[in-house]
Amino acid sequence: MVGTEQNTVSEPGVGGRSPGRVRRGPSTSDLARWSVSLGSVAAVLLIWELYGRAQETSLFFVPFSGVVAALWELGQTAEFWDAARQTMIPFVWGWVLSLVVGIGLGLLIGTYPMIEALTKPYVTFLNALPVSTLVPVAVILLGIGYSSRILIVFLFGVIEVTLNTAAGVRYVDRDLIEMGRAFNAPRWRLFRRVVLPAASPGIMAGVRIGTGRAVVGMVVVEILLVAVGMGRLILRYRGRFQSAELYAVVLALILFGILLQVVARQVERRVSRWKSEVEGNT
Amino acid sequence: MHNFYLRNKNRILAGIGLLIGLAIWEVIGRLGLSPAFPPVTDVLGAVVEVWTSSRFLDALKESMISVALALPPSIVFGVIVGVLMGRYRAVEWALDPLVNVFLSLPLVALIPVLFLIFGLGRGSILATIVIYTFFIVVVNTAVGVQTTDERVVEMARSFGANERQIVRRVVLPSALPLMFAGVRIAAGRAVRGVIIAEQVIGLIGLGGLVQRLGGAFAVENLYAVILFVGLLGLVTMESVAFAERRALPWVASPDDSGAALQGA
Amino acid sequence: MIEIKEIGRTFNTRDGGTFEALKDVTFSVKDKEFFSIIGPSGCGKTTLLKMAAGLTRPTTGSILIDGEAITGPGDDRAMVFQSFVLLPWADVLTNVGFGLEMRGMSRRESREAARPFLDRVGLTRFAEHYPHELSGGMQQRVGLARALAVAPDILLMDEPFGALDAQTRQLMQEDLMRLWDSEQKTVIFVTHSMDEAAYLSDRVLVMNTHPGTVREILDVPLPRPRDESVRRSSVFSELTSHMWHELRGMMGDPTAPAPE
Repeated sequence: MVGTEQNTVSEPGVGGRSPGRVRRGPSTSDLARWSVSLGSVAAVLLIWELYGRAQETSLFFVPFSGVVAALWELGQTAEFWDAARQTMIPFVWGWVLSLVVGIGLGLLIGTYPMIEALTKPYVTFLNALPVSTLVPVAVILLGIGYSSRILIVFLFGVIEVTLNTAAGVRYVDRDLIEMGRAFNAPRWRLFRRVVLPAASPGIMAGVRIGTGRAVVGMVVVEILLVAVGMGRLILRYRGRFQSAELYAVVLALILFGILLQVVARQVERRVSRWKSEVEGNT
Repeated sequence: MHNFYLRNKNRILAGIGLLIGLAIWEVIGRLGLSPAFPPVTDVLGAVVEVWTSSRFLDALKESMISVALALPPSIVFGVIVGVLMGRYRAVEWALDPLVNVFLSLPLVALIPVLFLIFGLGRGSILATIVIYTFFIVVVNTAVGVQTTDERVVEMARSFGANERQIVRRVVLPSALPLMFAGVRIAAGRAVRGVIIAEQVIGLIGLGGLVQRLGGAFAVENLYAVILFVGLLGLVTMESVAFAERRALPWVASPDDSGAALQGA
Repeated sequence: MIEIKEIGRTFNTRDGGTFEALKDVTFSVKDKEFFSIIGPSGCGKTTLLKMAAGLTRPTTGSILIDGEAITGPGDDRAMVFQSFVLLPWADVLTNVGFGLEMRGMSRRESREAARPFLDRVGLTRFAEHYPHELSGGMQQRVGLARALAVAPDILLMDEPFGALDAQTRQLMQEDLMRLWDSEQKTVIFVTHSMDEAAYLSDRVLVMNTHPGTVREILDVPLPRPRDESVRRSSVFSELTSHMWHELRGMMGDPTAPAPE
């Protein structure tokens, strides 16, 4: 059972598309749903706002409006965007690297049982290990420059991409492979035309989850390493008790993470559309 | 002999893979290429020493207390909220956006805020574990409840079952596999959460120990702790999986033998 | 001519023992013959067909096509599957062209070349539809068109109508009959329906089970071209009741209901 979280719900949005889900009747009215959802979000923000205002003497709890205002202010400063750039460059490298390596490794592991068996101890261990413990190792290995930041982001993302890709390949419908072989398909063409498209939902799930993990890696870098990017802002605002600004930086990181998740989910939905349609019909 | 190999093929190959990796590491270590890679024999030597040291055992105790305090209530409330979300549409509508947001955002980014609110101590660590685990239990329980086969519910109804009986005899049992899966993931995430929170504080628990050993360049000891933390994560998730198999004998575990292109 | 020579197949079981699925199976199929294999489930008939397709190898014995032993899948054969096995992410036309694509045609060429075969199975209008939008019968027409498109000499059909409802099944049998009349290909047809075997075939091989062996090979002396009326002929009913008698004898429970 160590492995992917494919048979579980680890990400939002999966539930609604999971096979065999029995809808409890037609959605009586989307309007009702949306108003309840929006109402509840509004209520949470309102409570946050009111509670924050009531704590006016507190240095640590900031009303929602204060956070938004602080974020707006920050967005006007060159320093904020400079910090964002410092954070983004190693993130993008590590992220892309984790996708490329993870997909490649996953395809190998999913295709060759021998490679799967040989790499199993490492994959299993790294999957169970809190990757943040490797931060000091990365620092000892590469210092505190870009390269160790890239390595950390990479390590955070790569395992999920690998595991999901491998599972996607491994659970390709055997009948499809057999059909392709019956039509005398050369190995490479069988891979291109049958295995790869059939595994694409698993690969895309890996890309989505791996992207989320890479963002976590990016934030871990910022709060654990000697800070240069967004992390330096957090450190400074914490030191000066500028709570609103600190909240704002955190909010920016969170919004970035959510944005990437939304994009990844859209891409995944498009690539895997055939699968949900098939499952919706059986 | 041949049969023995066939039956234990995967285990033997895993052992070979492990030996190859350790041998490469040993060679790199002996060559002295990087302070990050001491010879693996030195690391294994450090393991016994570190794992029995009082500093390590104290740190372990600290971390375990945090998990023991935060995880069980998080699971219990997660299940309750999840069942409510799964059974009552209004609750689902109200909580769905919040749960979704918390599952999409990089939770680790909230740690600085939690430290601001709860201070540099156990409160923040407990809060971190809770946000790491609560929502995953909620969403798995909710989906488990929702995916109850309507036909089985109808069957129960046709035998005159009332609402309470339906929930107890049909809905909850059929939600159990996903609930367990949620707990299994939550257990793994609790370990992640406690370690990262302690790393940020840098003083207490296994996470704090990792930071201090790293700062002191005590690489062999650092690896010994990392090895332990990884095994801890593994054992935690495996023991939930074990309990899962014992509690749910009717759920077939996915067959993970063989590969798609085998023999092609 | 396809010669099946002394085919045997054993599997290793988990407890270290062996299980004999097929034993000493020998028969031959003539060119342009419609040859059916019928037998209780587990008799190894599908395994036999997959061996002819080159997908699995026999433990002992060999299969020769025009005197040459087969070593794997070949361009001279095409298979139709019980569960259709269409690419769910590709539209109907790409699915029909799939075999051609595997032989090196580009996607565009193969789609063009597939069109006439789609017409032949009466799905012209559904070229751009996706498999999940089609009924089971239509999906199997796609599977059939895909096999015909590679212009095989030999068509291997593995219970192709087994997943369809009774009415669709009968329609598909008639259509297959018409296609075969015009195409004149060698067909090996695995089924567990006695009606189907009698209606379609020139000869029917009845198999024993545990291990799978040849029980007998029946000639079907029905005139061609055949239509619905042959189902009411006395030859037809004698043949099916004979098969039922044979199959029933093999099944453990004498009160077991008739298959299909």
